[in-house]
Amino acid sequence: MTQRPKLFFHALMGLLVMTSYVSFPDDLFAEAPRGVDCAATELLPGSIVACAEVSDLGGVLETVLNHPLRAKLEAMPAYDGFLASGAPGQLQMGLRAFEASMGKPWLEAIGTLTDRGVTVALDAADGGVAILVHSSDAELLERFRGFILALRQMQGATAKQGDYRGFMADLVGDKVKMVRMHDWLLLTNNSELGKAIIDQYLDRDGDTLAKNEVYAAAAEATAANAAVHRVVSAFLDIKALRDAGVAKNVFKDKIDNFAGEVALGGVLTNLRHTPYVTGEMQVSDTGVAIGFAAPHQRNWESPREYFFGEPELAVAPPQLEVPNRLFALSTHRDLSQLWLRSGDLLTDRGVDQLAVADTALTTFFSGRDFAEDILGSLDGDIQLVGMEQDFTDVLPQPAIKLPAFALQFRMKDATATKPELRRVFQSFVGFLNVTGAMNGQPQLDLGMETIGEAELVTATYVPDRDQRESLNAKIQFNFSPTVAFAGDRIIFASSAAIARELTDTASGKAKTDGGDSNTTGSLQATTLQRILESNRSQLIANNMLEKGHSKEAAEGEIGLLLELLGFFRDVRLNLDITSSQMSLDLAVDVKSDGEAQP
Amino acid sequence: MSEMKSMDPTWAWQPFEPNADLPWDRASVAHLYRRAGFGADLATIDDAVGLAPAEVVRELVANNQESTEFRSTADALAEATLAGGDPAQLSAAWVYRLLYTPNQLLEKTTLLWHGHFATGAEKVQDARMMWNQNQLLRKHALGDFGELVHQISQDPAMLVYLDSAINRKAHPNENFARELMELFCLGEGNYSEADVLELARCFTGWEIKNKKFRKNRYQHDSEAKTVLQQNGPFDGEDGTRIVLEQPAAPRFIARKLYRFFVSDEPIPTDAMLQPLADLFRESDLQVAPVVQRILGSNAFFSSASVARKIKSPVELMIGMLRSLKATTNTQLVAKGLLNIGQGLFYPPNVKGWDGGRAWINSSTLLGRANLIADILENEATRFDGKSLSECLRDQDVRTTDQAIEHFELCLLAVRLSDDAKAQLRETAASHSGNEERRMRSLLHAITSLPICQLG
Repeated sequence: MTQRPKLFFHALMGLLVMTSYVSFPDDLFAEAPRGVDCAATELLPGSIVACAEVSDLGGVLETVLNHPLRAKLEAMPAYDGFLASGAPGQLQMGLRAFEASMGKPWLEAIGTLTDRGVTVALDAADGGVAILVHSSDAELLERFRGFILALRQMQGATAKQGDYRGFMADLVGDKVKMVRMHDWLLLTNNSELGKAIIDQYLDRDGDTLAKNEVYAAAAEATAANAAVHRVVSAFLDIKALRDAGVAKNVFKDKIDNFAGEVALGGVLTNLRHTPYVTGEMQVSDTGVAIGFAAPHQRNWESPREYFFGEPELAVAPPQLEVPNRLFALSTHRDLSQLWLRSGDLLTDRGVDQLAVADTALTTFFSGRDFAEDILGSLDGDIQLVGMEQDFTDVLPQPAIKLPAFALQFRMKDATATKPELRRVFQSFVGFLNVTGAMNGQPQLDLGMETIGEAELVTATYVPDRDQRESLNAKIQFNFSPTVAFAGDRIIFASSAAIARELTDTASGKAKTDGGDSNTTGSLQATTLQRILESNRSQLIANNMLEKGHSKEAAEGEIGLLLELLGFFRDVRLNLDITSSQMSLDLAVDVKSDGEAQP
Repeated sequence: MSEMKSMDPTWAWQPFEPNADLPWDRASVAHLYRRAGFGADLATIDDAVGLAPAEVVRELVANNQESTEFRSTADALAEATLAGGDPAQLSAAWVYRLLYTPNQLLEKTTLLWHGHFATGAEKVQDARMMWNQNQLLRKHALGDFGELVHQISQDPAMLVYLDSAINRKAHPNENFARELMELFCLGEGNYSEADVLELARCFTGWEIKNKKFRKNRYQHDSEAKTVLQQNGPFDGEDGTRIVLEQPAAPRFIARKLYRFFVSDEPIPTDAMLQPLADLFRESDLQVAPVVQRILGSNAFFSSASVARKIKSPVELMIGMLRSLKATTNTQLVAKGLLNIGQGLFYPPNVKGWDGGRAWINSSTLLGRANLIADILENEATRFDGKSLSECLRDQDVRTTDQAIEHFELCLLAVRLSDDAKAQLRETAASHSGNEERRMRSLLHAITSLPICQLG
């Protein structure tokens, strides 16, 4: 039995080497013609609606594989477990076969094969997809083609070929065909698209993506943004998609979901008007960043001024700072305006749901109009923050330890709003106590605190007599709902501790500059790792139940997850809007060699 | 029916002696493991074939306490699910225990008592109470039945379920008193309505406060009562003792054990059960000796028992998984079991599951097949840590015919007909290109067959 993999490997190597050298001599199918030195966009038809160009795949792989954190990863006990599982053995075998076929190390081979770019394109005409690989080494490309065909042969697939204008097309999947055109390799699932590309390669007289006005504008915008580590740039023809009736739900004027409208209403509005979206990915030693950008015009914003701000474009307030911060999100949303204009923004169903909520909330707020009087008393700056809770010396301790979070607004008229909302909070706690008592849940004890000029109304869960020192208490003991007033700020917090941090003058004002973004967010991976670590036993239990793993296997998997999380520093999100552009950027930062612990 | 009537009770409960007609082979060992637990893989079955039947049964019964290591892992898992407070999650933790326990008879008997002392989480709505009751059932599953009844009569989950959380002397609550005699210990016809009223008075003052049992002496009726012909100022403990002393009690439990371990139908005669009832009484209501007698008897290995029970959903699903050394998403299994009528911690009413033919109708049969399909399609499902085809290859099972034979040995109580085999071959042939898909579709087809529902 143990001899089988070796025998298989030798057979595979022999076949691959033989096929790549013998069966497919260099330049069997075509002479180098006119399309050799053009760009992929000059070969792709004008009907392409989406494409992504990878400029330096070899460089990306090199960055990832030679990253300083790789040594840390390999030093992890979980990595030894991965090696022992046998999975890398199969990978190694595949790579060795690839190297034997290419005649050089696999990384170098991939680098050379793709050194003039890889382009993936989607055609609007019939949903065909094409991948164009451009290499400086046509001979190596032919070897690669031989390797793919040999692999297919090894898998027992019947070889099928076709000819088009002197080029041989090989079937390499259920519908996927492969054609080498000198230093280009084309893979496509659509024959008509493939023929159009070959025609253009030979004739160079057709309507191409490069000549498409929308693409040209997008390319110009991408070029204007000189990114050092850009490895992928992408283009999406939104207008063509809209005209074709694709993804109608995205382009609808109104949606059902109120929360969805709050989060993405402005972005969706832009997509309903913008001609295109560009995208890019940057990879470097410090992390990965993905960005999308689209043209924007101020006259597209109506009726969603609540999102964009008026008359000037609104800017998100800075992110809140607290110790052991897990996440922070800051944005501008005029919720009062959103609520009042819901008829223009939401579908009839959404408006009906909101009307029901409005009636209940108006009753709850003692007859005050929820949209006008309550939401209207707050301005559009919204700051949300979460932090790890410290349960040291705290009893009872919940078995599942959740982060605390707080939502901060600014009151337009603190003197008038403060007593109103304080009374509502007290009523709310009373309501929770009545319903909680009916369901056997712990009761909340109201309290008042003053920190400097700030005032806190707290509600703390009271444990049963025999649960006072429990280390395994109910999930409710993560919460001590609190409302705090500090100057013109009002803070709704899940715990008194985070409210105290925010009302503290020093930390309340020590904020990160929010820049000119409409929305900014960040997530601290180190804090997330600590929170998950404190819930390790719960995660292991969940893994055992979900996957049926033994305790040892579950411990290994969760341990690996937590260790991998330790390589990341943070995740950042920014939504920037100017009078001419909307852009959304997401960045994932990894720790430097010195920061990450193996 | 005639087989049972003609069976001599003395012969029936004598130790099983294999012969040419009833040999001690893979089939009879698999039958034992299916009934005493949920099933065993072929290696375990082959090991047992090399031992004497009585020795295997003795070992199964003696293995009636969980090892510290397993208990600590399984309990920690249950405790972790309790943190969320959702009884449905607790159900998944029990599925995990059923899949991994090395003490199958203990867990099977715990399941028996869960149906006997039926308590539903839907009404109790407190995962901790349900878990505590489950531990109580496990602790006494093969032990002292009398002690178990005494404990269950003070169990918060049971009293909440039977609306007996408050029981005052001015208005004695009859629910628990009635069920104690009718469903738990004696059966109908062995008590009168007057006994119910008098027994209820014994339990007055027994209540649940802060989720704990307590005796409120101010609400206890301390006057004399007449319960089942005995007179005195009895309290709840006395009432329970008197019920357990009734001659009908051991026969009632013997019938329950017979139905659970031997067969649902036909209903055994009193004469047939009397030897078991006598043994139960002689052993001071210890469960293990009676179970050992049943599992090692001629009746248990006779044609009156083999393939004469319809598998419950738990027996079918856990049996399939254990017999093939499979692991899977236990939450999926727990939810699926609830959908097809046997949610763990969710019995339908105070009578528990009816069992027998009630398990099967067109809807539940389809539900069983669908749940098996869901399990087989779930990416968490592994067979001895591998894909099904790899696992079978390791046991030198490669062809469709070999796989049919393998599944037949592991999962079925009766042999497949030639027609059924031909149909299975056709099913497998439709997936000829993909070995894993072929084996999974074959397994699904076999486990969905009507005869696979027989245990």
